[in-house]
Amino acid sequence: MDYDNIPILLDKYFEGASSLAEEAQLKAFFAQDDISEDLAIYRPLFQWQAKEQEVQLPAAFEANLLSTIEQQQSPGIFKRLLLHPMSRAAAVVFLAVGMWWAYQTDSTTVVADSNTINWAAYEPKTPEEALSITREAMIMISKELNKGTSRVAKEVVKVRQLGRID
Amino acid sequence: MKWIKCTLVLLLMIAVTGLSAQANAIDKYFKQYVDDTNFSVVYIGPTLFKWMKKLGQEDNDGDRNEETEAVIKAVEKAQGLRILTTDVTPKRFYDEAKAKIDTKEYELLMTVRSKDGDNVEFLGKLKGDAVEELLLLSIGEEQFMLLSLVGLLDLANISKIAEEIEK
Repeated sequence: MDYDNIPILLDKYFEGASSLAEEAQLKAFFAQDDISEDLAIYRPLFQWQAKEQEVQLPAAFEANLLSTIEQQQSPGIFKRLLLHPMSRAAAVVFLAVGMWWAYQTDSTTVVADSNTINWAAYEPKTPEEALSITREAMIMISKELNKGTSRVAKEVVKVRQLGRID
Repeated sequence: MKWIKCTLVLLLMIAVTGLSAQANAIDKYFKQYVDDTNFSVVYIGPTLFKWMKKLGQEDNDGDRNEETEAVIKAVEKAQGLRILTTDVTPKRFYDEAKAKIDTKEYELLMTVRSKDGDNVEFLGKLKGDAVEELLLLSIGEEQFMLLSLVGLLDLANISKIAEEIEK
């Protein structure tokens, strides 16, 4: 091997201008045992490179990597259930059942009570009779209502008069 | 988007069911009075209210006077009238009834006390400005009366009935 050009190749190498063939030449040179002392300082660099190039990935590396990525990407059972098209329908049903249940518990007593009273049994037999009862009831309500409001009106007048005196 | 529509329709249906199950004060608080033989009970339901309206319309011979007209107008949107009366221990029933009513639900609209000791309380279940149910508690020396009128009520129309009588 031509040793004279090694320093030139080294310069080119450190400048980043060496070709692949020249780098191969350098590696071959530094693989030898017999190297002059001034060049021996570069030996570890090239030996390390050669050694690192020999490092191989384990055979199952790619398969392992892919399976790990797949595991990370695949959603959990809960997420998969949520993404399922039927989950929306299930949510609506769940909501409806929940509301129905809440409504039932809230008004159980009321509904149960009205179910037990058979109001139809207390209805007048004819519309005429119904009208007569309603008439009497409404007249009574109306009279009482007016009694109350007219009293309020009188009180308002009194209060106003007091206000004027003051 | 379809499922949103379905949900809305479902919620609406639930809401409507809730409205149709509207209860009245007597069903809610005074069920046992209806069964009590000391009470006389009268109920006028929505069907009878409809018939009443027709009754007047069919009467073209002038039998239906303005007073009746005012009554029918006042109960135009009424759904049910329930009257419970008793002359047995009226004071006891009155006190009991007053204690039972939830004042959060039924607002006291007016109390009319007469010199002779008669007392009438107007309670209302209000929805906005409208009265959904009018509940009357009336106590006299001899009688206690509980009256519930359910439906959209206009107090002004009710008040007009007495004005028609006084004419």
